[in-house]
Amino acid sequence: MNRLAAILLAAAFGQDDPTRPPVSGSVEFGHRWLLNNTGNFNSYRSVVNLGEGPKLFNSDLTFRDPSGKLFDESSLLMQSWGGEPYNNLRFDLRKSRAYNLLVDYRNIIYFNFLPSFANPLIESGSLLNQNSFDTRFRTTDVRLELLPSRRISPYVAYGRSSEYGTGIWDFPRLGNEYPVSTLIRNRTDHYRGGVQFNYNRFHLSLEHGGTVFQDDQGTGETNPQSGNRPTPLLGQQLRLDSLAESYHVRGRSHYSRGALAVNPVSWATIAADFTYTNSKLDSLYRQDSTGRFVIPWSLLAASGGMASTTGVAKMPRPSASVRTEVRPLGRLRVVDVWSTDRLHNAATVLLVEQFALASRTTGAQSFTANRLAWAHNQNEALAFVDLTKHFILRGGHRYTWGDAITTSASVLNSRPLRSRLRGNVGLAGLAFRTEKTMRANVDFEAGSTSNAFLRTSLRDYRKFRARGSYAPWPGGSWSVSGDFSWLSNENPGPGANWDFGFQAATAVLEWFPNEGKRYRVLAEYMRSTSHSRIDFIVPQHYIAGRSAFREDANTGTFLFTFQPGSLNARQPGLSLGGSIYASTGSRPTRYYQPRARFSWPLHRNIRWNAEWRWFAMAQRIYAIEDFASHQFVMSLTLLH
Amino acid sequence: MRASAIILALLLSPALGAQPGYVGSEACAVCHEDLAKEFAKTRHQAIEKEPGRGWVGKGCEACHGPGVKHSESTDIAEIIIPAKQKAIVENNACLACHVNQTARVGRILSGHAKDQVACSQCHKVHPKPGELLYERRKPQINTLCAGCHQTVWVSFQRPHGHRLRESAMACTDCHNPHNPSGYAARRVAFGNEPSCFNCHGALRGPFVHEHAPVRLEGCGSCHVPHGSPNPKLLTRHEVAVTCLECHGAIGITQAGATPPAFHDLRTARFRNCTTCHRKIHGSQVDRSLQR
Repeated sequence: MNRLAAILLAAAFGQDDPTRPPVSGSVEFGHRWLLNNTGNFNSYRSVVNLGEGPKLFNSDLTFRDPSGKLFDESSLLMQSWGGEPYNNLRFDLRKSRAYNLLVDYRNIIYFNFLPSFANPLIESGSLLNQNSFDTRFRTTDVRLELLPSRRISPYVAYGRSSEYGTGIWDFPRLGNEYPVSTLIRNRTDHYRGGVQFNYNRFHLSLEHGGTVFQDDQGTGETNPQSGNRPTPLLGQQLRLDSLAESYHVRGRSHYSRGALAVNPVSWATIAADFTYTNSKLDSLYRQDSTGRFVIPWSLLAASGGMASTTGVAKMPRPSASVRTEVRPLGRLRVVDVWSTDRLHNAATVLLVEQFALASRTTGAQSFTANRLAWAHNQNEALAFVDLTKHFILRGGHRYTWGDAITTSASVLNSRPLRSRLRGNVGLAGLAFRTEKTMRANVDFEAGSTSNAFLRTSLRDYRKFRARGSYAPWPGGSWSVSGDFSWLSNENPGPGANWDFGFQAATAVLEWFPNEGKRYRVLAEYMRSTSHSRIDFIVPQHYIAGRSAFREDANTGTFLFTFQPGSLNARQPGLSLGGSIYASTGSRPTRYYQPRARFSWPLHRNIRWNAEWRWFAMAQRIYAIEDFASHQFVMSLTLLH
Repeated sequence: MRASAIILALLLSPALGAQPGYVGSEACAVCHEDLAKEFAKTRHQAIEKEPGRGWVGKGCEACHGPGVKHSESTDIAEIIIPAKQKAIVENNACLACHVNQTARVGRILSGHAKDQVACSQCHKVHPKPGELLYERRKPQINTLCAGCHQTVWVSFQRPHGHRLRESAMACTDCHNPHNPSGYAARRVAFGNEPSCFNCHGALRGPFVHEHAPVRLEGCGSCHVPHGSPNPKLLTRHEVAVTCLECHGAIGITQAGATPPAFHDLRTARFRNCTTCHRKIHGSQVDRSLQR
């Protein structure tokens, strides 16, 4: 009898399910061709950057150890390998009541070379962006969590993020600036470890970690150039003959963190956390240049210059929060969250600068001590009332307060700049939910203050948001959803008179008859507007002007998929769709991304795929950046 | 036939059957075989197996409550179905075990909890084949978030944006949906700093010469993280416009409001402030952020 019970239980709960293969999942690989690239290829690389060649597009594999000795289950997810600009990998290894191991890797190429961004020579026909980059951001995270018991779980983790590559930026001198190539090389190593205590009435998490940072950016230029200034300055035709510039920055930080959650009684939950971070950074900078320069303090002509600095910055940053939820009645909950975050950066730097004159050198040195102190505090109290099973009202109040001060104790200016933050915000909202057919959320907040950190901070503002979705019945064939956001913010203060507004309305329709087993349609449309009008001082003659920015945008996406049967069925599949973005205003832009994909089964476990994509960007003002690209992909998907 | 099977299962497990109200998981599996099989492949099977949790042999009833009445009548009204309860009730069924775990520490006032978003809207407690208890694949994570955050997702269709469209990143790389701390469920880096520095470590500082708005109001002062028609994800169409909205006043002693120097904006040399102020995020060398 007991054996029969065991068989029944095992069959139902599948502990040793022999039908589960040790390896399962899918792999897709193939080749991409760029059929026709027209327009500005640098813009194409800055926006899209997909390349040609053989690729591993996707790999989603799950491994299972039938014996369960080393691990229970493992998964390997890989995307876009083989020279792709954005690739990633995630590896999970798990064994119940023993460990969890997670490895996450990401490599993103950051190419940015858009002539409209920083190109002082654009009016002369040059398309050289003088603030451009071709770098790689790589991040790696490894985390091992040990599970010796259900109550206590220690963990260790290591991460590295780095940026490496080349770029173009300017070497600025008085009266002229010179575009030069630069080598970007920095990395941050991050290590941490901690332990979690899980008990029925409380959870405690303690963590200690730190970072090691280094930045070795360098610039070298040996080609003489005249820079961006076509005319002489003080009778001197300025030029740069050679430049060697290097940064040697080393930083360390450590932090300690504690988080506690307690259920002292059934009707209350208290959670608190505290983090203390201390960062220190030492920097060395050296620059040697030859050419024809004007010395800033004497306006004499020099044939070479040298500068070096030695600096150090220290910044402790404590932060804490306490959250309390009290449920005194069945239909009432009161939540209060208090938080504080503050930092204090104290820094000193010694700058030595020398210029070579015809027969002698002249120099200057300065010692600067800087301070930036910032504190931001907030208390938010919200009450939730369950009017009915489906309808919940909430309302509350948020008070934010803080201070900021920056001082620069140099000889020229020792005047501190201060900012204060004092703000009261009223909060209201409702939530409506009927099982799975209809959901709606509405939020409104309004705040007013005469003290904010920046003149473009939230001052007198009102914010409204409504979201909802409706499916006529659970398991039905269609659903609609929508999202409406509105923000109006004003700073009527003298010299600002800022008027900012944002509004976006999004509607989504999904049609999926028979649970989308054969075909599915998804259509999204968003209409958004944004404007910003603010007074400012026009720098060339220091009189008041008014800046105006506006963006009116329409964005639509559409996707139709036809897939009779499941993915591994011997039937073809088709998907058609893409997106369109079209805006008017300060930077009128059109951006198209249509695509079509066809899939054909060659075998029970093999599918052949063909995909066409088109990317096109057109800008009315910056037509020099327009591009279009046809792409074709052919791939195989292996399923197991 | 079904009733016979349930009775048989009850007889075969006398210890469970003896507990008042509880019928035991094998009795549930008689009718809900597919659910039971899929459930056994998830991490939640630990409820069924591990003695310390107090639900050995009756894991189903840990969430669905005592099932004797339902097993006798097969009436759906006789069993608790958390997904059909209001969100707070459903969440409490999950939080009975999970409330004290790290990820849940902030849930009591996370945006999701505030908007009555139930755990099962993102997590598949009874996953179908191919589904996971919690999603690990970036495209699927993004699709899941986009289901409610449509405006944000549509914003990524603009020309410039973080690489979510290409599935190189997931929403959860920057946001923690359980929101232990911070505004808009933003993750933190290195203890208590903005998650932007997880990738952009060179901009973290501390700098000898700070650009105050970066500390005071964060990267969002100048950049739109989700998507923008403007290069480098700037909030405005031109660099000078972005800068002068703050640096456009005189006689103000406010931090971050240094007035502009005499520059002729009519020439392209001065319309792109970062041409010269190239260390705009903070400098170790000079206060004008030029090197």
